[in-house]
Amino acid sequence: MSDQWMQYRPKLQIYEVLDRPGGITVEQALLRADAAMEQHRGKAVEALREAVERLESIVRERNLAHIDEVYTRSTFVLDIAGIFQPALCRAAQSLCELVHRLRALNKWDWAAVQVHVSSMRLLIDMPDAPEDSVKAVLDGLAAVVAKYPDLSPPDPPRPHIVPAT
Amino acid sequence: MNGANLPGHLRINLEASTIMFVDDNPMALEILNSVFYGFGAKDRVKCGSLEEAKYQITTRRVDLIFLDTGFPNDGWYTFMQWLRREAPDPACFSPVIIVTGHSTRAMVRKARDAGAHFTIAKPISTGVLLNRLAWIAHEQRPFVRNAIYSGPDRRWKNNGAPPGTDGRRSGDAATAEAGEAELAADAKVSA
Repeated sequence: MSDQWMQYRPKLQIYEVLDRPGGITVEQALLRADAAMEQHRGKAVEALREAVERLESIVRERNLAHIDEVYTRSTFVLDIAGIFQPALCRAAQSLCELVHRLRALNKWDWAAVQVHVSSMRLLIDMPDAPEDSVKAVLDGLAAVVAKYPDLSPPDPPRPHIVPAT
Repeated sequence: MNGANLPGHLRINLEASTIMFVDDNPMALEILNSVFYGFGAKDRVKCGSLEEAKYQITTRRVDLIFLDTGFPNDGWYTFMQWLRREAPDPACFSPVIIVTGHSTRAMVRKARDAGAHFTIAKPISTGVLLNRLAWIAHEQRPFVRNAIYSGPDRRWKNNGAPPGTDGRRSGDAATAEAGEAELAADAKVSA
């Protein structure tokens, strides 16, 4: 393939979903989707509890061989909690970011991991906690993560390609 | 307005659309599938592996793909390369929404460069999913292809040519000055 840009305007079926007659309104779609998801809540919460319990057990043992599992378990919580318990999901996201930064720095900090896991326990046990309390917990976690710099490289400059003549 | 940030009376018809979900987490797969059942999509394809997704794409029409980035060894990226470069027409043009759990800056950049339409970071909500779907349908972004990129046109907002250049498309020269002025104004606002 050459350096020359080729542009295509395919007529895709998905482009018609807003114009096709029939269907349902956005309000109806959101209500129906929320109702359909509710059937998964019980199983999801059970799986989330298991994951948090395992994280607690890892933190108790403080065995460096389980560092990768901390990331895997918190990713699992992040994957599932989003729709049912967004605050728990954000705490898991914070733990993932912490592990990501620590790995890049070639460091480890059990205390920082522990405060995350304790917060996750709090959030899963109190799904209806007041918004300001949840915010305080998440802000606290963000402050813990911020102690370690993000070593991700900055965005590279966009490539510039001269069109073929 | 609602969680989707769309007019509540706007109608959406997914009855004839085929939506594919690719995720190696069975529970996440089921949840996403249920959301689109609620949105009225009758034909939904769940793939727990990238191999299954490839097979489905080569044997049936797929109108929209949700791809999770949790596959080992950046398998999702290899899949995107295959989809945009080797998959049959029109599958190679299928809109893709990347769903990420822990998303680093590098991951978001990689998803964009791989030819995804959007990257959605978890926690996801039904509103965000519906909003992105409507956005894809409304914007109808053209596809561009060359030696290093194949996917939706990333310059869907016309800011003109990249700053300091005359651009590489016909019409860029005319918009370069206006684009730079707009960028300068944006920079002032963000400062």
